[in-house]
Amino acid sequence: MSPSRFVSALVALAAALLVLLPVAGARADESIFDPNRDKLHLDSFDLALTGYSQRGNGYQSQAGPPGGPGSQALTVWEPIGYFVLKKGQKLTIRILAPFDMVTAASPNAIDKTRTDTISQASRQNEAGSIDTSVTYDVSKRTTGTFRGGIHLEEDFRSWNMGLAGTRSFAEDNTTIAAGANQIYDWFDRFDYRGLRHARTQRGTTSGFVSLTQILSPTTVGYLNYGLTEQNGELGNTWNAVPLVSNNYGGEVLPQHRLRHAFVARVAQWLPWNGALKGFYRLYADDWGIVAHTLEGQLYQRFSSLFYARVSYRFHTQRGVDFFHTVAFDDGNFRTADSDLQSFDAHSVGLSGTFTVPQRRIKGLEMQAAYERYFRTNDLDVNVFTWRTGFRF
Amino acid sequence: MSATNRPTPSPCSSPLTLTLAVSVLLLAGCTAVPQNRRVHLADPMMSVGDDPIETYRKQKLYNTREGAAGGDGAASGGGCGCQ
Repeated sequence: MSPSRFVSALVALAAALLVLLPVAGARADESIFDPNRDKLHLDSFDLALTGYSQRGNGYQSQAGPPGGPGSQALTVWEPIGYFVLKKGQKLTIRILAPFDMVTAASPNAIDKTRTDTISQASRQNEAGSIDTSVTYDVSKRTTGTFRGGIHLEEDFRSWNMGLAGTRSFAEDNTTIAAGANQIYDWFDRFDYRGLRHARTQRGTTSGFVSLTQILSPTTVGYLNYGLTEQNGELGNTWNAVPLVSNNYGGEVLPQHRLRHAFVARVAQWLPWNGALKGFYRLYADDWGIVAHTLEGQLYQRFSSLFYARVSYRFHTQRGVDFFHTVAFDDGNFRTADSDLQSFDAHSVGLSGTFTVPQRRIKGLEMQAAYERYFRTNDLDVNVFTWRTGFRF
Repeated sequence: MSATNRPTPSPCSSPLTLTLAVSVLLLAGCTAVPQNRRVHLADPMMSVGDDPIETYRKQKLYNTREGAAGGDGAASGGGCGCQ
């Protein structure tokens, strides 16, 4: 089955879940437009601030000696707002609004004397997104979700929309879900010297099917398969590639990419008020990347108001077939992007979540988290997050 | 070396086949758990998925740094990934 037909089948399945299955159970007095239903109200909102501090080197960066790896140092501050609104028992609206403030050494090293260089994006880049999803519980066993979003950066515009549906069986012991999404990106094409070459674009079509299964009173399992097809300009356009002639050249990437990902999760309750979660992911694409990711998370509840989590993640990937630290200028595919190289990555994390008793609202939740990410090809990232959640 | 030199993984190859096989095994071995025996499963710690902010944070951390990230079919906003 071709990717487009597979995604079309997923869209049809999601539409069937949304439209066909609940018809028999829907009643006129359950209409969301019934004036007697509860009014739209704020159910919860969360505010989070995340900081990313990255150090490392990669050959795609020009912030270093010619021909050698350049700095990938960057700092990101990212405030996020997350709002959940509800109307009656059936309609839920979720709005996620992250904003990024990024300073990065790699684009900053591009020749700024050029007339049309990457302007402020090279020194400090502000970006923002709004993602909304509307979920309607069309029956006790069926939900449908429509989502849409927009992403804005200085030289970048992106729109996305999607449709998903869930259906549960056997007294909610089994839940299947399917969905499809479409993303369209439209952005300026800058070359590795900072020269702008009009606009370019890429499209991403993706679909998934998933299964959630209660395995015992203390165990839940989850499986997911996702397929993504991308077309168009698939790089950031200004990554550099060191050439044998001691000069830099630009990346030459395929215009198409087909990606498969399989995910398995299991969550096991532990008798001492804890939980253990396992995660495995297998990934393969037609650029030659094959990756395996394993993650374990251990939760421990110390009281009804506080629990903590420690986690470890291991990721190993085989790089793309056309990765080179020094390439010939022969027109063949080439990249020096360290993210597309073969490497192993480790990540350790720690978080604590505290619920503050409140009289006026249902709950006030605070969370602090730290994660350290480091990998074998010279990159490490420290991530700090503070989050406050209000439940009404 | 060209990317086209390597055989393209078929959608019917390992990931999809693996998903179907494990799904069958998962469903075959389970019995229905009644609602009144799911008290532990209702704890937030037992959620098999991450909440949206956690999901977004992970996407931000991994998608722009690992060539193998993404591709799960999940919706996500765009971005140049220029970090």
